[in-house]
Amino acid sequence: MVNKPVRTTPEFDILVKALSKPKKYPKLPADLARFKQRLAAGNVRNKRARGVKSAPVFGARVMDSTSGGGASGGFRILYFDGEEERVLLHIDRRRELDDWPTDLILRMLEVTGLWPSES
Amino acid sequence: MSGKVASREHILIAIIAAAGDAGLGKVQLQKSAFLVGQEFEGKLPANYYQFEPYLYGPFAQEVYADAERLCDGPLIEMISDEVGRPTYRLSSGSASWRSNLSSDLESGVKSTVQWVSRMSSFDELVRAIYYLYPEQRANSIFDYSEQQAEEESLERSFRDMAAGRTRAADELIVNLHD
Repeated sequence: MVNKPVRTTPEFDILVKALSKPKKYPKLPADLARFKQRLAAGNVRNKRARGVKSAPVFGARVMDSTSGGGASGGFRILYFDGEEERVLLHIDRRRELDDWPTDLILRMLEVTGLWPSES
Repeated sequence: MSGKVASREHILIAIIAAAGDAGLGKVQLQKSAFLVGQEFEGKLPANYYQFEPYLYGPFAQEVYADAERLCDGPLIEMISDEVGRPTYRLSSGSASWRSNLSSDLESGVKSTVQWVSRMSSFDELVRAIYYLYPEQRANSIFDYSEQQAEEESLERSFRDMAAGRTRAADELIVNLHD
């Protein structure tokens, strides 16, 4: 993968702020910083979201140092791999890396003009 | 952050001012004050609002009491829509008002209020808060759907990206470490 800047949406920011609370996952900022470095360099294991055809929407894992354990038990992130930048869209605690709401993603890509319909 | 901690009323005025001419409805004001409290926990005045999980999520009666009291002064005005719902906004004579909050608090207040203001309905706002802070569902009478909340969150994120509302990830990371 190519080196690209990593950006976030306000929605992603507010999700991270809520998760980073002291009683939740206080080490998430550090985990996210390490993930961002690797993603910017194109050095993360990712999986294209299921059913999105060739749209550049991927899931990837962020280690959870607060809870311990490996990356497989950590957070999952959804991001859009654009031509010039990678945009972090969503973060949660679910396990399946490619199991995202396909219909919604396809509809949003189409209505926002971010990716042409492939139907 | 500067040495002097702003008063809670000052922060409440800044929240209302951040909404511009559109102002904030009661629920938007309540949830904005809650989110600011969460984000800046430990950096706010000791008497900042204490929110309790209530019927529709986090609630502090003092938010409304302060807002109403502020309407007696020159800075804030309350207008009612066609069905009598109140909206709080900076009064027309206060356009030059400046918050003097620390830059991180001011920026946090603005981004929070913008986020709250982009919600299309009361239901979407309550769902979004419950999704972010599950403990706030404790006494809820609201019919909450986790799947709907998650899908709406994703939808907002795609709309943010399409509208160019993004920032360097480093900015978020620096904010979180502050």
